[in-house]
Amino acid sequence: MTLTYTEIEKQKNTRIWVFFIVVVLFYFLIAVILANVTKAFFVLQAADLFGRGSPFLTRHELLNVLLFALVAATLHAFYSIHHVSSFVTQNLGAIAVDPADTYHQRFKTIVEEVNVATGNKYIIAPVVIPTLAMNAFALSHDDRHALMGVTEGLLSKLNRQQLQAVIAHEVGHIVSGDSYQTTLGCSFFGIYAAMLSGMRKIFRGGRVRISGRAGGIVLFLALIYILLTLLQFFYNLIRLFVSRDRELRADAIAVKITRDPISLSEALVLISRGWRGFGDIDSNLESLFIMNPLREEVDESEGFWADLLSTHPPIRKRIALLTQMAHVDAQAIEEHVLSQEKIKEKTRESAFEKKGSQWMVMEKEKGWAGPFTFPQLMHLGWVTPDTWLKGIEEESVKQAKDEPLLKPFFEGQLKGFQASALLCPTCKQSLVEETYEGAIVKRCLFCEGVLLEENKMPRLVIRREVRFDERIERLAELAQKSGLQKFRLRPPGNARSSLQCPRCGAWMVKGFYTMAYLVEVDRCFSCNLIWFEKDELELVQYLIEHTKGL
Amino acid sequence: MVILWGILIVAVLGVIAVISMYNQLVSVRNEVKNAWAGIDVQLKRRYDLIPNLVETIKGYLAHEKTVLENVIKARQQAIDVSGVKEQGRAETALTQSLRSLFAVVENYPNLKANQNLLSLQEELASTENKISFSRNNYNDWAQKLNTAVEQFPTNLIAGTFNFHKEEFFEVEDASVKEAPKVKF
Repeated sequence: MTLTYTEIEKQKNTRIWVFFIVVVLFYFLIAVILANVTKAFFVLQAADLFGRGSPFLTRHELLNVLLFALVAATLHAFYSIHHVSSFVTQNLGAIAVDPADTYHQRFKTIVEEVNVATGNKYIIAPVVIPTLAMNAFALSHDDRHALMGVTEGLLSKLNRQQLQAVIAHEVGHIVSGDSYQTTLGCSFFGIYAAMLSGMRKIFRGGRVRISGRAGGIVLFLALIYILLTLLQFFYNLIRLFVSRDRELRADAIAVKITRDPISLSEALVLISRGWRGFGDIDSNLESLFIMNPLREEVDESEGFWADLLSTHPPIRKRIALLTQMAHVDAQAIEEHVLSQEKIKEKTRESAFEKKGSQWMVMEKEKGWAGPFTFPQLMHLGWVTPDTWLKGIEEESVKQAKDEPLLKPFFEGQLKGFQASALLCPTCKQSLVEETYEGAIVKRCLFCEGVLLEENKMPRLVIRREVRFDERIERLAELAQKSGLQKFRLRPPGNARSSLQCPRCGAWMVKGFYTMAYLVEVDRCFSCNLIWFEKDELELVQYLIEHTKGL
Repeated sequence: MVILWGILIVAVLGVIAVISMYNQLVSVRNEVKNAWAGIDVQLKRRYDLIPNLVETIKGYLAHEKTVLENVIKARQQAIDVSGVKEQGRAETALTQSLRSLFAVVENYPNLKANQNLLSLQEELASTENKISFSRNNYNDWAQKLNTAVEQFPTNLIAGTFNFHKEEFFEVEDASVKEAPKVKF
């Protein structure tokens, strides 16, 4: 790959023009065909109303149709190019990067770094899709502005280099104009796609009574439906024709940016082994992603038809090309990735091991209080540098300012112990913000309950920093069993809990986390908060991790 | 007459070729300058971060003044130096001095938990990555310019209009060249 960015951009401009012209012509063709079918239908079916005539469009009508299509296309293109990013973000449920979240922050930093490699030519807005799947996409709405999204699954599973490689791949799509092409295509054919899905809904409803003239209309709709499906198919062919080799090109650009083919191939191995689906995704959008979210058989085969019909090249081929660049064996990469996964699994920290030492503290006029752990101590509020304290395993008594571990606390420089304004619903002590699995959660230092925004759950569930010990394993089994019993005894429903929401003060609702993970938690539905009592969050995490096999 | 026309056409074509080659050289040279400016921004960012870093660490490292002084010295040298090759050398020295500083910091658990230091460290690491990305960008363009300056026929134009080769911005990666540590 000796192309510089300017050369890629020149190529990109010609490519986009050719693509644009093809798309516009095709758009007109569809409009004409639709108009003609409509006319023919009315002429043949309802001759008594409209009078006899030729079933084909006259030259005058043809001109009108084209003009109308042109106006509609322009308006539609303008509208949808301006709205495509919000459309896609809504469709995928993407959210803006959370600055307090370590993983999100890392993603944002890497996007900024990789953008430097392009000479800072683009303004890339990073977003995160809260799903456990692993995937990434990029789209641009004009020459300078682009949107890049990755899933929580990807953020948690890839290391820094691998994530950098994936981001560079997406930047490759932006630089070479693929994203813009797709955006154009999506927005032009959005009209037809919307018509098609609307009709599908009508047919699925199946409550159309067929009688007399209405029967004719149903026939007409069916005809249009078949036509649109056919045309969609042809459009897909055009689209697919251009899209397969561009994944390879984006891979090549990624390597050019990062000079690191190994990390990219590792990332591809990881993504291909993981789950990358989204469920219901618009087929026009699938070529935006680094790997096809729908996992089709045809993707993994080669040859003329496969080349024609699939949006993404076979993963094996991509990895083989990358590993060739680095002169390593593809098999070795795969084995390396697997062994790294195992090492990562082993180095997970137990959530319960890091409690550390405990102290007794001299409380004014009350005598020794405690024992307190380090975070509790800092949270007590009345501990000053002059307070006397005693390590629980030590004999000597000293002042707090002489304890080296407390020094950063008194200097106000310690991370992650910000007291929040909310109070623990059980202990009525103020909750403390703490970094757990890279996200900010609010924990009570005394009863160890956790308050969490519902939309943070996907992150916690997919991240693998905390290791669960045997106690959690056993508790999880028990919880599932007793949950099942409760489930049988009374129909699943939510009961009023004895706790009040720390934010709005309303009574919370007690219910299972989900019907699949039978851990009882308290929720406030108006604030979207969940209150986990001690261990409950870990139980949910453990259960999800061990049933899905993610 | 035909010969005259022939000469005229050849002359016109020649002029067009010269102009286009000249323009190409100019645009590549400008890209090189632009890419260098991109590196410069990141280098400056790093120079700005170092005083904060020193300020944060100073109180803790009373016994290891030399490591800090090395960083300050290396920073000053990197600011003072000019020329691509010299800059590269100075940056290598600065990176190495920072690495040894962070190695020392590892021995101070109180310092490691310091919030300011953590964010500074993160920002320095990110800036270093940006330097390396913009360096790649610069070197790509420099290579393109150098090829054009040496290759026939652009070398003729380059010679006449005083285009010359640019040096690559090379930073020795200390982590690669470091000898494997022996444990006893």
